[in-house]
Amino acid sequence: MSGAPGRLRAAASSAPARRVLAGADMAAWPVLSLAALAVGAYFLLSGTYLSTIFEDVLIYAIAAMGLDFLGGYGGLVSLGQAGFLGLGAYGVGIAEVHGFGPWAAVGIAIGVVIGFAAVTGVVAVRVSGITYVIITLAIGQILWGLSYQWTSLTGGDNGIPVTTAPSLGPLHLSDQQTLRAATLVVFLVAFGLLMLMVRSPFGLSLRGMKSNERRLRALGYQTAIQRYLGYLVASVFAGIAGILYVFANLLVSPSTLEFSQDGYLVLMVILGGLASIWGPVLGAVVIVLFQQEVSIYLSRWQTLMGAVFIAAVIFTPDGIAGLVKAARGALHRAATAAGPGPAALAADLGASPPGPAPAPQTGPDPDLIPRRAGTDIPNERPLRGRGAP
Amino acid sequence: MTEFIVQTINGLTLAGVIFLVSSGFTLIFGVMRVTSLAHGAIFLLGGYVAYSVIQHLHNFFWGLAAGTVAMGALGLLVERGLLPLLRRSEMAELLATLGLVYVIDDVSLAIWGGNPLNITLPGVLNDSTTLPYRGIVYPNERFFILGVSVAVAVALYLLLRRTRVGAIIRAGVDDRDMVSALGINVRVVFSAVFVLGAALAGFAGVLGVPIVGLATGNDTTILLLALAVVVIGGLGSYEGAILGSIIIALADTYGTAYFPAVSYSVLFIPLVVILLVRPQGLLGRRAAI
Repeated sequence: MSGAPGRLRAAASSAPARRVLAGADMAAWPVLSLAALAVGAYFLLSGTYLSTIFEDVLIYAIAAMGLDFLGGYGGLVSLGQAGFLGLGAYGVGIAEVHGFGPWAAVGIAIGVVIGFAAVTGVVAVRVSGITYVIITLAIGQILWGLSYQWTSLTGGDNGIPVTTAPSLGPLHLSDQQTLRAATLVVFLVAFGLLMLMVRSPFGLSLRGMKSNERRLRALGYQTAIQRYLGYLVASVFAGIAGILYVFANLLVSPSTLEFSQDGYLVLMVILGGLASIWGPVLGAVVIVLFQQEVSIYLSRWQTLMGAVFIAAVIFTPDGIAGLVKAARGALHRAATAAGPGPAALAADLGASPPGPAPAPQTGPDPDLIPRRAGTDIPNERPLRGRGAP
Repeated sequence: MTEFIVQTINGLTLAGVIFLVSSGFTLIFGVMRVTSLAHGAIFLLGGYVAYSVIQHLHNFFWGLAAGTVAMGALGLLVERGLLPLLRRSEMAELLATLGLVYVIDDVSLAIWGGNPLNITLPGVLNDSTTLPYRGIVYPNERFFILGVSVAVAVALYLLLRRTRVGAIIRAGVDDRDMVSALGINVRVVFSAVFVLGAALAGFAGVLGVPIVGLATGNDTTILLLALAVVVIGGLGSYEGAILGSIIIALADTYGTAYFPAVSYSVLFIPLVVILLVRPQGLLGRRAAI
């Protein structure tokens, strides 16, 4: 319930409207997300070709959420995220080739991802902005180069086939339906984790760092450690996505972590909306649909996707999430301007009882309270331009 | 030893091509602070345009001219049409040029297909010369490429060091605001630099075909090599681009010959090290990024 100034003014202007809006908001989000989840789960488990599309969406969404955590909230956008996805996938593949069981292979893959992130993180988190993009691009390319050239280990261009998936009691992940269900569970856990982390002191300090790192340091925050942990989290998200990827595709090859894949993950996050929890998920939906659906009807889908992306960078720097927010703001203004008309009354009926949300506005105007760093930090937008707000 | 010499000459010719790409990249970054990820795609597109022109006119040099001019024009289009919409946000510029990579690559794929193409140099340039030392036989086209690269490097040096335009560009790298305050139209300088950079990339794209081929995916490799070059040499530094090109091209050539399993990956280790210990690059004069 972050209050845009416009909304605050609108909410303060009439008490009934305020109640209606807050009630509709509170009711809409859980309902909408549950509906989206149900639709997604239905398609995922329907066993049709849509299942594989939704499976891909979930897998890439996990990696994109990791990217968003550090890129959106921490301001460190990585162009090497697909490298870690590939590292997780290759970790499983190479371990299995060397005779390890599937669970051991998963463990090794996670270990390798954490290990590599722990080493490269020391380097990467010392820089920021464009330099961070370049250094992560280099890290991603180091991984791609190894996967492509170190043929004795990786199978080179042919990649590594993965034949055995783990099983847990009666659940065999080699069964694609079971694997999809497991992917959904992992996705939900990752989503929940992201939500928790964003709201935790850890996430707040990352956001604060993006706005004004010097201030945070002056307040006694160990910003380097925070970044480092953020880097580990982002990498592990990608690694987990890679492990799911390899069991879903039964093959990993250098194309999994090539430069265009790094780009796709960034596209997902930017298109969905930096610093939004469900932005990367929406972005993953859009990009995967482009790759797998639009490509059926339009052979130049990549041109369209590139153009859409450029348009997004130009016109909606906050992505789809930003558009939605703006649309909601506009709706609220329209609703308040019209007063509690029929539409608002209908919403009131739908959302009754209004719930405890609309606390009466007591005390000083929130806009006049000085912001306390670390608790209420304005979301700075990295795409907004030099100096200008 | 013979092989080592051949590899060294190979490396130097590659350095010539990489220098042409990176010098434009480094000027664009140095003067405008724009990280154009589309630079590799422009390189590749220049080669493709030249290929088509050569198909029709049967003359390599018309192809070279066409690739260069067309990419210069594309550069103007990007600089005047796209960059002003991006609120001068470095990250937005980087991302928009990333989107441009997908568009250029896909359009190229539609027009020229996915199979590797080649451009043959005319006449004597297509033969080989036997070197006096150990009877090494070496293709003339590579000597030609090396010679042209050196000539362009010298011309660029004279432009940057001996002309008023060059002085303005160098001043722009050092202190853009001061240049503007002196009454120079920075907008025009920006456009000129961007067009020059894109034209150099297109020129290199044509000239480099005999060395790196004309195939999808080359754009990424070239972009990353150029990135490594300018970070190592120093963003915005002309001399740094020369030094970085020689380092990266020799490392790539020796690596491919002697330790092929890791040759590509090790190219990025110096980049990472430089960014950490000397962010302004070997020959950069101050922290550019």
